[in-house]
Amino acid sequence: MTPAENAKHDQFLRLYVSQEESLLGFVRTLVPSREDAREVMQEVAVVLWQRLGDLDDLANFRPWAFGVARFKAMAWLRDRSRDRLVFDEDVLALLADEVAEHVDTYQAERRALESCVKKLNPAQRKLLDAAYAPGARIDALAAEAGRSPMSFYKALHRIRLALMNCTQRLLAQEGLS
Amino acid sequence: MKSEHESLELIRRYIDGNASEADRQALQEQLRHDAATRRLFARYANIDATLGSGSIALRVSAHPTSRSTYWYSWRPLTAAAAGIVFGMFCTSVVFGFVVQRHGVKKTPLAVLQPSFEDAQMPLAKGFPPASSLWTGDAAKVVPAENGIMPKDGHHMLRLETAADGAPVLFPRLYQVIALPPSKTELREIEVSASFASADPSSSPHYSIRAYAVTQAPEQLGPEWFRHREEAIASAATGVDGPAGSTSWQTFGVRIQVPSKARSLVVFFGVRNQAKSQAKQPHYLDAVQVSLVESPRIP
Repeated sequence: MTPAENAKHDQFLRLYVSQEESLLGFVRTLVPSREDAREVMQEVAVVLWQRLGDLDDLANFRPWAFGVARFKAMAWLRDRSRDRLVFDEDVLALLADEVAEHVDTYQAERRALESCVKKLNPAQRKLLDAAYAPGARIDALAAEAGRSPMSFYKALHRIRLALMNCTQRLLAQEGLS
Repeated sequence: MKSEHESLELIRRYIDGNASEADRQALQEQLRHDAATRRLFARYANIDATLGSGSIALRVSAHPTSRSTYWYSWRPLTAAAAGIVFGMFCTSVVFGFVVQRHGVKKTPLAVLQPSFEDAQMPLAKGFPPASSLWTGDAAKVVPAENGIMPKDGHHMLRLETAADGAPVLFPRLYQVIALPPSKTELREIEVSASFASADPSSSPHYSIRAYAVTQAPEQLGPEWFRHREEAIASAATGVDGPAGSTSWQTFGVRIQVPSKARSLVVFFGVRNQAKSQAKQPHYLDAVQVSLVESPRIP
């Protein structure tokens, strides 16, 4: 790469990494699974890179990136709506607005989540680690643990709710809730 | 109006992929008319996405070894077996030789380019459209570079951390292997590989997964990975890259495969646990897929 290309690449990475998790959370709200969100994010990253030059003011990277992510997620859903359980476009638009209008709050919740995960007991963290490993299958994990898939899902749900309560408490302390 | 508890249960089913059409419709109506449910849904999805992003350390210990992980001290079979690699198909498909160790017989299955020695090896994007084809995210066969020597032979596969300049968040590779017919009800297959990273500061977590499916390789479309829960058997393992080291990590997983399985989908992935994007690529080499036969107990 030339020095100019290197500089552009570094600049893009800085901007992208600063928004990556917000964009992932946003896309995840719109598509049915984490795997779907990951696929859309790959496409979003490519478009952001290819069109970075179109952005007049880098200070507007975040709203621009959210616009691209929204467009790509909607296009992705349209392509797959026939065989997937996805929401109607008006509902997706409402969800997209909800996240886009409260980006900072969701970002704060992600930061708080790190502290809250540390407060879980080792068994809960082990369950989360197994359930969220790439390509993990809940039915296989449940069988390995000698439980039914539904009881595994319920246990996972209880941990997520505990984490949501914890993050809400932390955000309230910061006056962000 | 449903209670928050009921709404959360509907949200859980949708997020976990357990929702029926009736669930979807019920949740959709709530989302359409109730801002509080939209907020709840977005928070739940945000938590789910963050837990799955690898940006938060979920495990308690920094370097645990999965109990289904098998560590190997022996050299990969491919180099040792150079003389018994069959030249059929003019590819690096390796099959037919048998290695016995401590009474355990291992018969390698046909894996295309197990040690990535063909610099012109094609790599398709996404999920494999056929058997014996490596596919996935951007990757390239390379010789030694960035201080990493190939684990096996003279080349290895570089898993790019960027494609067209854009970051590849979770580099992954797939191959679908056609399984030979089996006379036994259940057979054990071992999948192993070696991973290394030129950027150990990214705290990579390497993973190997295997899925046994009843369809033939040509019947598995690009959508299959989303329906992987339908696999009749699966196994997975993963290890953390050692802090500050670029050395190879060799590990594997064993899967019990029912006789009706016709294909084995193998998946190799890397997840960066550090919050920053990896600046240097990761590498994969010495992939092995073997039928394992343990000695019968007299």
